[in-house]
Amino acid sequence: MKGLEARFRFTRGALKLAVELALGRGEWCALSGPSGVGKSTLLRCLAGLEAGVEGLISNGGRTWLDSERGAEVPAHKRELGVVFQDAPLLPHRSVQGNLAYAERRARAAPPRAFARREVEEWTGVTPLLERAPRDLSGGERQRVALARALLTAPSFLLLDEPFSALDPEARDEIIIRLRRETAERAVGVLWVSHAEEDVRRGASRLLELVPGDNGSVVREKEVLSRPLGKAVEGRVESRP
Amino acid sequence: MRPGDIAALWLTLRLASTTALLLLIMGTPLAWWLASTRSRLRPLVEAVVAMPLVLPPTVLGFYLLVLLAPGGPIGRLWASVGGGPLVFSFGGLVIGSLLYSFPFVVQPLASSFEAIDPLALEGAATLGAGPVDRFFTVAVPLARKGFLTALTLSFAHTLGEFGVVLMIGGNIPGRTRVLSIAIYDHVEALDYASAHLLSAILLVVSFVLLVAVAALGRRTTRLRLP
Repeated sequence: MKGLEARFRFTRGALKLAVELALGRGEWCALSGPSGVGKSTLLRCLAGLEAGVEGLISNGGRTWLDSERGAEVPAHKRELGVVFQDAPLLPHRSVQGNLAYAERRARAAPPRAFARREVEEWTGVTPLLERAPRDLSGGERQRVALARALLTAPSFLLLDEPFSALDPEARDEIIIRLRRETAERAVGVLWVSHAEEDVRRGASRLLELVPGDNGSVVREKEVLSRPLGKAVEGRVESRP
Repeated sequence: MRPGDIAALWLTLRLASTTALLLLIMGTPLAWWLASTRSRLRPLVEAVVAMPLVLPPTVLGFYLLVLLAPGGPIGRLWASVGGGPLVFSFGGLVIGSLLYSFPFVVQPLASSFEAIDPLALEGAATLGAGPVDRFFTVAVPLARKGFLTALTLSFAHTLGEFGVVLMIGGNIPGRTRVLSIAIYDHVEALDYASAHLLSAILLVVSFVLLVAVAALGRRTTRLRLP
């Protein structure tokens, strides 16, 4: 089955992207690169949150963007789960309200969809359900944002430093589980992180966004031969 | 209270609530547009919306009278589709009040829409909420203070209307004679007792409304979350 394919250009001020990218269903790709190179903007372009993107984007053979033909699928119709660093939750709804908002608009039913109770549990938001977003810590907000994105039953997850505010143990635990859950449902993941460590632990493919002559380009860094779950679990076990 | 004054009070309340509700329906889309547009027309539209704030009400009323009179462009059009007379009628008063109180609805709504974090709206979009869905499930709840302010201010502002009403509605007891005009009449006739009573009613109602806005605005911030 065809995954997410993108070939586009985008310019905003000094920032220029000239991206070519193909992500398979169920693949875990880590995206690194120097800061300011446009990693977050790349995700925003894929999610349909930027105007003026030129080129082609498609998912599973379905066109999301064809700027030459003037065709564009708006953000709310792209089956993506998006977690941006520091993005707010819906401030007028409790954690529970935020999750329900996502679940009600889910793009698929089980088994492809994630079960609400289960997700609440392993993302660690069960004790937070009654709380208001403004009473959450950064790490708690990130857990809720992840749970919320999963409940929309996405075909791909776009994660922009999704666990930056979690402590390493909690991060490992979530990564292992997320890895399994996404693999079971063939959900692809594109994961931006500054922490090289983070990226290696989770990813089956390493991508790098680097400055080029006509804008930042995506470069394949290395394909890990090691099965990934093992790499992650190995690391956790070796923790003193 | 004199029977004519009770009619005036009732008419005023009816006019103010009709105006406030209609304005909320008409002003919301415009306020949303103003808050989200990058159009070059925006300053122009903002100026037009703010005009009733600076124009003397009699000027507004005069132009309305000219336009709505049976021989005027709008009056003739209205009559040709079978409408009754617009001037010196309740309908005319409503039209006048809509224009007169327009900025009191559009401005608080537009500024509370502008205060919404665009990232919250984007977040809702990535969760699968379309534009209309986002408007009702994110923008409206987050702008609830603006709605409350708009509703109350337009109601209170219409209560105190005088110049526009006098020009376009005249002073027909029971039909277009609102409270502020009744007060003016009583003073003219040196009936200070009646003028005192009606003035006190307007004063107290307006004060209570403004206190209610302040208190409700405070409470909604601690509203229980769904």
